[in-house]
Amino acid sequence: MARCIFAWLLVILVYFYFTHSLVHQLNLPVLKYVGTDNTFWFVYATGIASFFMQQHWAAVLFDVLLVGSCSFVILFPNKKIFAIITVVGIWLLYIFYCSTAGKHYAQIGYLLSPIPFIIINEKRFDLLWNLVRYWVCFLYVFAGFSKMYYGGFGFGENMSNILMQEQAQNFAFSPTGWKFNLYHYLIDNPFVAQCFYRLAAIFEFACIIGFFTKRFDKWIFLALVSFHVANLFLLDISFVEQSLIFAPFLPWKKWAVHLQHNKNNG
Amino acid sequence: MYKGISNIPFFLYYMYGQNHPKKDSIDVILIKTPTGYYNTKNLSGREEELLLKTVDFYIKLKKGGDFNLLNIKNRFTSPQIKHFFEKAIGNDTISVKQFPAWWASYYKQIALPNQDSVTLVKSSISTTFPYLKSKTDSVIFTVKTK
Repeated sequence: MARCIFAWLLVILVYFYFTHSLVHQLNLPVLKYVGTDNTFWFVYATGIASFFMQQHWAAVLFDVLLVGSCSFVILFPNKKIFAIITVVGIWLLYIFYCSTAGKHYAQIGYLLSPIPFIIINEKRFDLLWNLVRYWVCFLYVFAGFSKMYYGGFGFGENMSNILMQEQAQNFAFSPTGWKFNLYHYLIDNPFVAQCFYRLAAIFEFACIIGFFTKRFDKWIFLALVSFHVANLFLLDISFVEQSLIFAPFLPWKKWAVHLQHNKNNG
Repeated sequence: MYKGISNIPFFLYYMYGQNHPKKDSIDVILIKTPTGYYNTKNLSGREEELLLKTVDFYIKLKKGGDFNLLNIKNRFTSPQIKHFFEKAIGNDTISVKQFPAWWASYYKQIALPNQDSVTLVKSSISTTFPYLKSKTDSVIFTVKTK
């Protein structure tokens, strides 16, 4: 399981490399956006951020350590030190990226699922893996709740206005094709657009089931995947880095038993 | 929100939850090259964020100063602590001045259209079909990219 999760994470890191967003590719940023987040403040106040982000060699070293430790977990899943380095590394990478991009709430999926693998004890691992699952449920339930609490759910034109705002950059280039026609249709028909928004909020809020039973994990998984695919099509929000958030809803134990069974038979 | 508790990734606010009122036009930041505007939608989301969100932040810093400093002022009373955090998390005028050069270096790194110089402009898009761009742009800065 550790091998799968960290291989998945490694794919995400490779994606970061090709999208020029590893630490050494941030080119020694000059501005920092820390907002009011105490985690960000801590990383900057302790000098960790300036050490890795203001010296090119340190930034390269950081990326080599991160990618290297992640690869070592795949090769030696029982050596917990590599998992610890990777987990600390991805959290720092997240903070470095967000504070450079001037954006606070980027997708956090890849931060959560690797955490339980820093634990050796099997029982504690199970406990932490379940905790991550509850954490993910909480994040989506909270997102669904926010849409209701802050008024977006009830405001009939909300989704068409969000679409207009998110696609304005695209419209500067007079696009054509089915995607443009779809945006235009949804912007022009707020009721239909808002149906998507409400459906998304319901999908998110439905993750509350995950707090009471694991029987519907397959459905939660499908709801989350459809939610992110819809986001990708309508709002151009890629979910490569967020994809690791699906991991707690996959039937790992069932797969392991199946794999063992096949091995024994083979 | 200087008194608010905000810790990644425990508390995430809003997530498109607020009302988004209709506007007559939407402001956009565009990359203008001698051969035309570059469509940043061709880039990955992360590259687009690093190229454009940063500019948004830069404009805010130039217009209203660093709001991090306001947070520090409101959170602490001790002058020593204030000074420490201002140095650690604040953006001084030198950093703000260096931003266009940093932006150019990132632009060059992702190998966008090879031009002598590019200009970042602010424009607006009408929210009425056919969603036309305003005829005038306001220049944010021009940088040499060769």
